[in-house]
Amino acid sequence: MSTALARRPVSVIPGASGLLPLARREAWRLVTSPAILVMGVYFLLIGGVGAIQDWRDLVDRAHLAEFLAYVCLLLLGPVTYISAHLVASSARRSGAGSQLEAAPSSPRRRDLALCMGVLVGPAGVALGLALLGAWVSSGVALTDPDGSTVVDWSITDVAQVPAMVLGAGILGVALARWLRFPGSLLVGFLGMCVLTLWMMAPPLPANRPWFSWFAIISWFSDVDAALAPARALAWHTAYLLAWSWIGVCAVALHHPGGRRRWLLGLGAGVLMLAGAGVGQLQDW
Amino acid sequence: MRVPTAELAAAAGPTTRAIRFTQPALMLTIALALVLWQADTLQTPATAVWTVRGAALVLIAGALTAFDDPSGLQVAAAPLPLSWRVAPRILFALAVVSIPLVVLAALAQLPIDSLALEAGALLALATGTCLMLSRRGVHEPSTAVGTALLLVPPALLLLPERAALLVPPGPLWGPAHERWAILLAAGALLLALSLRDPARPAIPRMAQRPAPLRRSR
Repeated sequence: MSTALARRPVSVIPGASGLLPLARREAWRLVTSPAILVMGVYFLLIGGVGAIQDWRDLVDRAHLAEFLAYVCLLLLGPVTYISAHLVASSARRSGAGSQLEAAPSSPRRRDLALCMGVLVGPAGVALGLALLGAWVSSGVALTDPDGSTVVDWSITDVAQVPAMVLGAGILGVALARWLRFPGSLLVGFLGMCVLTLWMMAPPLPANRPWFSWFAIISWFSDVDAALAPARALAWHTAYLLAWSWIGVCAVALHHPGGRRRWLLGLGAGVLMLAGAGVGQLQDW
Repeated sequence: MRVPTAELAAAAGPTTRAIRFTQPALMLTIALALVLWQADTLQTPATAVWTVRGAALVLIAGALTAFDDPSGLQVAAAPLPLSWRVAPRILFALAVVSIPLVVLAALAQLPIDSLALEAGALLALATGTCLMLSRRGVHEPSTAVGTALLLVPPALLLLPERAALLVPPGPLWGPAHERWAILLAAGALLLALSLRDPARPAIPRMAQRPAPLRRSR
């Protein structure tokens, strides 16, 4: 994979506003990564074949809502992780690192721009898809073999999807920085898959799924989270965002110089994580 | 064919040192974690086969990192054919996959030969693809091939019964493994093609007589 160049010269503006042009560029690289395109087509094919095998009738709103939930929960996170890791490690893999050293921007700023690009690009797409799912599922019910489940997305359900995708992308960037060896993408991917499956799979202790890096949609998860109050789901969104912030601090801490304030930020993130972790269990 | 024993002995040490052990070790840890988590499933063959397959897939993905060879360009100048240069890496990948797989299959009392056939077919296809990508200048082929490998099982599970590959022990087991044997043959062919030295002509040139010189008038 080659390192993409901006079509227009990127202005060098000190401060956070200088990151925006770079973040827009990185967001475009993330969204148009071959990983997203290939895996998107793959999942659509798999989902399409599965839907034809399972449903055998016309697609209605309930099935469309279920399909969108699958895409939001099972596709966007892994694909964003892979895309972010590939983009973050592209300079190392293509041997272009020394050329980037001459760029009028520090490596830390470029990495922060990449993290911001995850927010602008994939997380933005995830928010759009979650809103689409909420609109499609408004007021419909999906009939399962074991009864009927309401497929109505609440606002706290919708908010968790971009938070999860943001975390997945920042995890990809952080692992690409800290584990600088070939295969770190797969190690991180499989490690997260096994960990998430272990935390979400039955038999479940009462609070284990709440500590996974996964969005708990009321009707989708095995947690029976339909019983969970919206406040707990809002705390879970804060929990996911705290992980994302810790990931940003980990990315920034990889680079030398000015580490004190990022360490303070990391401490604040850990406090936020602990607070949100406890808060989500209050009403459960 | 003369086996270049001296050259092989000289190359074995540096090639082994150039193989990275970190990633296969991490993947082995993940596979062990998967097996420990699903230890209850090892009691019955119908469930154990899925756990062993999952562990084998993780191990194959880890073994592929042996083919990310940053020293490939330098080693290409050595007076050894490509197949001999890559052989230690193939042996390493085989060991990483086969030893834990045999132990797991024996523990779960599963047919070792059938599971070895499945793992061998996937490993041959993945290794051949990695080496083909390396020939085309891809520095870390394991990233793309390993990720693609993880996408294979969900697709295989959707195959219709007459073409099924991932089946539990039962009446479909035999026909499925006939299809796995075909895949293994395809993988071996791909591997053989990928091990051909790039400088070797596709068809051996016949001895040619030099063209007669023309006298200029």
